[in-house]
Amino acid sequence: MEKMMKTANILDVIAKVLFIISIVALCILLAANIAVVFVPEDMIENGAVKYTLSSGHSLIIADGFDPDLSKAEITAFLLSASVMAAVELIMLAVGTKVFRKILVPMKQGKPFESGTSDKIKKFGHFVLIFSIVGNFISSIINVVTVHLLNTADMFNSADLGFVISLDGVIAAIIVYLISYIFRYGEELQKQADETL
Amino acid sequence: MAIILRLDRVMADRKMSLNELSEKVGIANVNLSKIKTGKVSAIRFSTLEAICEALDCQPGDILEYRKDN
Repeated sequence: MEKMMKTANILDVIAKVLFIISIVALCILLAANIAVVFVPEDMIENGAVKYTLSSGHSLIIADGFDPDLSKAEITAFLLSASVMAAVELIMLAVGTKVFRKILVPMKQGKPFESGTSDKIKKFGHFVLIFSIVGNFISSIINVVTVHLLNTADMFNSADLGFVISLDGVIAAIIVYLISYIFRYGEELQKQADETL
Repeated sequence: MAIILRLDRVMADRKMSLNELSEKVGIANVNLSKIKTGKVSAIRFSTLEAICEALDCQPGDILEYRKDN
């Protein structure tokens, strides 16, 4: 029991750190997006978004674009890439929050407390949604970006037919099965508590 | 449930309070109250033995079977 409590505590700290990182990254991403929208035309040079510091040094914000691309096209690309990253970060934040709720009874040494199985099932829903929606959004944004940039080479590589992550589905099924094990555990715990 | 606990009746016969029985049996007052009001789904032999010893009775005096209609 002590080992479980210790492990749950460690996992909780990791999940908390991940949650904070995802929120901070999301804030940075939002700030970067706002900055990109208002970036002056002269900051875009040879397919790179550069910011010249007062010391004369250049700070490269984004690089590797086709030199022929306009500011609008680069902005559109950066924005759609940011939306994709934001969705992933939001899902990571939600996932860690749901996961931390599962750890609460385990930290207290009561893994079969009433409601734990429902929380695990909720986490299973999240894993399933993440595996489907994550890939779907990635493929949509990929296609949208390519259309916006209108580059034939990239268009050929873009495909709207998204692939469901099989790993994610298997993980979700395993989580669902674990939730049923926990439901049985809750039932046994209830019986044990009612036995005097 | 078909099994009815008659601890209250036996306690009344022996004129024993809940606190007194709790001390003798070594079970918390709250838990003994649950047994008394029939709010438990199972009872251990060791608990039953301790109660029978404290009240000087048989398990049959505490437990009663009544057919469900």
